[in-house]
Amino acid sequence: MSFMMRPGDSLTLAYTKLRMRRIRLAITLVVMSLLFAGLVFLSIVLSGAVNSMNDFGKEGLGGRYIVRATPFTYAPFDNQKLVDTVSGDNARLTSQKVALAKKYGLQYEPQTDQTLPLQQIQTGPGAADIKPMANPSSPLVVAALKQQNASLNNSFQDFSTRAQRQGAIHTFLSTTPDHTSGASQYSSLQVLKDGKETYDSDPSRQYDTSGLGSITSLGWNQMDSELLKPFILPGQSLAVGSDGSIPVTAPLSAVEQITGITKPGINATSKQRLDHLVNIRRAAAGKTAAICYRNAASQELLQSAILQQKDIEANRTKKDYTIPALQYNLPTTACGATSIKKDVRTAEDKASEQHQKELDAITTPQQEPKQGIITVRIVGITADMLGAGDSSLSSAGLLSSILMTSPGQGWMSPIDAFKPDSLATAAQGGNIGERPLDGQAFYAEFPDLTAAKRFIENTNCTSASSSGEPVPDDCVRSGATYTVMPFGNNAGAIEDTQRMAWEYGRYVLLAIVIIAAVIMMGTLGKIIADSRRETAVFRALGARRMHIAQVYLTYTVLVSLLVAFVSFIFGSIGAVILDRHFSADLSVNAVLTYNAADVTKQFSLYGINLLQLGGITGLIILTSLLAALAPIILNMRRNPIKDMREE
Amino acid sequence: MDQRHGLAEQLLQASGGDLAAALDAVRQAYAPSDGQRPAPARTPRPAKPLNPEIAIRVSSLAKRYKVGKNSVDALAGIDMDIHTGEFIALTGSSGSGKSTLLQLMGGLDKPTEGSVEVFGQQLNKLSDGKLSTFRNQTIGFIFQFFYLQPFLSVQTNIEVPAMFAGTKRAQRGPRSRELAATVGLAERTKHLPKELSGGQMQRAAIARALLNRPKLLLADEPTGNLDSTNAMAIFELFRTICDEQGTTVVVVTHDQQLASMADRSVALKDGRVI
Repeated sequence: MSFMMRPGDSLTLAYTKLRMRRIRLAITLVVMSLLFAGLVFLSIVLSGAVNSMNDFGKEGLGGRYIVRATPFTYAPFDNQKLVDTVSGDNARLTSQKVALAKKYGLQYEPQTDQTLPLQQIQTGPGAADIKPMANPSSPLVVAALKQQNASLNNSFQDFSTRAQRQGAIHTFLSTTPDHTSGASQYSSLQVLKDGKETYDSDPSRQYDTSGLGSITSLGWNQMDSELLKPFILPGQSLAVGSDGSIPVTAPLSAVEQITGITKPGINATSKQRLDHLVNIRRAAAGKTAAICYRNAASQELLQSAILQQKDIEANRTKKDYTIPALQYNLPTTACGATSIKKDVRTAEDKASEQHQKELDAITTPQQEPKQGIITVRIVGITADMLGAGDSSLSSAGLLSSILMTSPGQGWMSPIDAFKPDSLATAAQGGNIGERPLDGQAFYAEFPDLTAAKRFIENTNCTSASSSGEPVPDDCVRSGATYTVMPFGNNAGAIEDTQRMAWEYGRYVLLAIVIIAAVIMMGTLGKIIADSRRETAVFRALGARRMHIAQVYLTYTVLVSLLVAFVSFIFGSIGAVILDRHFSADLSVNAVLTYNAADVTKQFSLYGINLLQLGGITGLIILTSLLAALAPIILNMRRNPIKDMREE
Repeated sequence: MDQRHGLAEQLLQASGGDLAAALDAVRQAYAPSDGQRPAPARTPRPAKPLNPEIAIRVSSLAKRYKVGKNSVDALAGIDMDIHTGEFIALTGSSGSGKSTLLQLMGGLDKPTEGSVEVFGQQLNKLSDGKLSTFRNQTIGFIFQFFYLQPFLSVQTNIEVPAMFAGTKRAQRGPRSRELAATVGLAERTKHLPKELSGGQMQRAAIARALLNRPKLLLADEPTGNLDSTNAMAIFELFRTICDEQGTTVVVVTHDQQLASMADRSVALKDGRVI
């Protein structure tokens, strides 16, 4: 007599158990399957996405091993060192201003002067809560911050040296101008629609992430042409055109507005979406657009003129209303200068204004109004940002943020298309070397994935900052003052996504396993308890304790396999629904994101990874076996005759 | 001699020792016939020459159960020898200890005192594994409520002890079919237990008990759930198995009339042999 039963025999006896307590078993099956269906669903969707990514990855930058690094920088806020640095200058400028105001008999209150390097900010309710803070608009603060950041030694040059030492074959640079702070604050960029400039001062337009407004909200980025090259449309070039036009890649929604081709509706078929893509690619390639750039002084003057005109319009009929002595004309041409219509000020008024300008100039360099049209030429289309546009969820943004395979979001032009001191360069916040470190991103290309991964490990700052310091001490010491991520390469990005999924997913996984184990323990405990008499009979017929355990273990595996099967059905249904819902949209956007030559390429969210599904099945079996262990051991140790008597 | 038993013997001789054919004939002779056939008058069995070999030796056997805070003596010192090939009926009223004695003889429980020796093997000295093997190979159990697996066919039910013995399906198949035929279920091998009558179910259970050719058959009230005709047929079957195969049979029963078909009746009262 053998220690174990033949597998077929234990299967026969276990199978009969499946027909016992069928309702309880069905409930267990459904609940457990729903729990594990989530994992199956994730596996199918991720496998589908990974397969599709690999398929699309042959396009764009997919075949290259590039990493993207953003340098850590000191922030102007909560920066005591910065406050200390500029406090001497602040005192000097304040006394200069007070003296000048006194000399000219002008009213001047340093407390309300928003141009001084230090601003007294109320940080709490008490009088002691007024603290000096650095003013990011002050040129002195900008310069001091630049000095402070220089101590981190993480400029593009520093990055390039570090990357090359670790095997990088190329390094690249991109910059994103910030129109909301620093030197370029209050300047404006407007893509002219039908050649017209609009004077809409609605601030929400500035934050519109889709359409033409995206040039402000997402920025007009400068990027190394090497990184942009894979994303340009067929037949296009990244060189400045003979008409001086600057090549640019623009978000789909903006290109739609420029070309006048309307986006298909939410319910459009994938064929309609693809047709739209084909049409828009054809219509956009080489099309020029005019961007109006106004520097801060020009923008300020224009806004004054607009407000003045509104004021005159509203009060013209009022008896006691006096028309201003200095009156402006709105620009007569798109992006034109704001001119003076009438100036009937007295000599005294004019002198007073001149004195005021002199006073202001102490803290704010005087700038001449400057505006003009920059002609850009569309050479590529990028995906819209997450949540932008009219689709319910911008899958392209999702894709881009997961993969970072597109060169970035917003508008992008090659760095070498910007001539020094040109209007376009001014629109970017000045010449490259003069710009602050924040808003810059560095790229390094490696010959293989291993080298890229090693570089990320060595250079990505993962420490938490301490004692309010914006840059963690550890990273400063090791020189790893960057946030580094894979860029444009599927293998790295997929691995990164999977690592993040595991980071958060493992707790969910543990919870699923525990809940499933408890449910399974309850069901098995009940079924085994109900089978005490049967166990007693088996023992009487000569079954060893091991035989009894074998039957229940086989039963557990059978139930697990059923759970795995039903989980697969549930998970598959979920994945198919998701795929149906997003596939068409994703396919179109993936074509954009990867700049795929074949527009009919499909991005599917349904993929079978047998290894993963096998792993999930193994996990289900393992969970069930663990849950079954205690009831089985208890059952094995029971006295058969006692059980038979109790029955 | 009992007329029906005589008939069985005659048929057995006529069929050249083919047990299955003989039992078929017995079955036909005793087949329930709407109560038309009167139960034949019974005459005491003549004494059979005893095989000197001892199959079961029970010595000073006592079993005490705890019921709440009290303890109950199910068996209070029993000594008994059962010879190989003997057909013993254990009788007594409910609670007399007969089932407990049977279970101890089968090694299903451990005695509080004393010992049980089956075919020279002291049961309480065997490990759990060896005892299981011993039960599987040497003892066949039959229960009052049959305890067949409800979702297995008759044939598979019969084969369950062979599953624990690790016998290959190809080897046990002919044996289980032969036994099904022996107990009159040749046409019912593919049926589920719920498709059988009570008598048929018990016959399937007997076939199951016989599968591993045990030397000892222990039956606990095997006819308790059957009508008198079926009960008689089952006892006839035991009689035949005992006589033809030399199997030692110990049957617990309430029924004195059925007990009289055994070679010897042992009556128990309050855990003692009377």
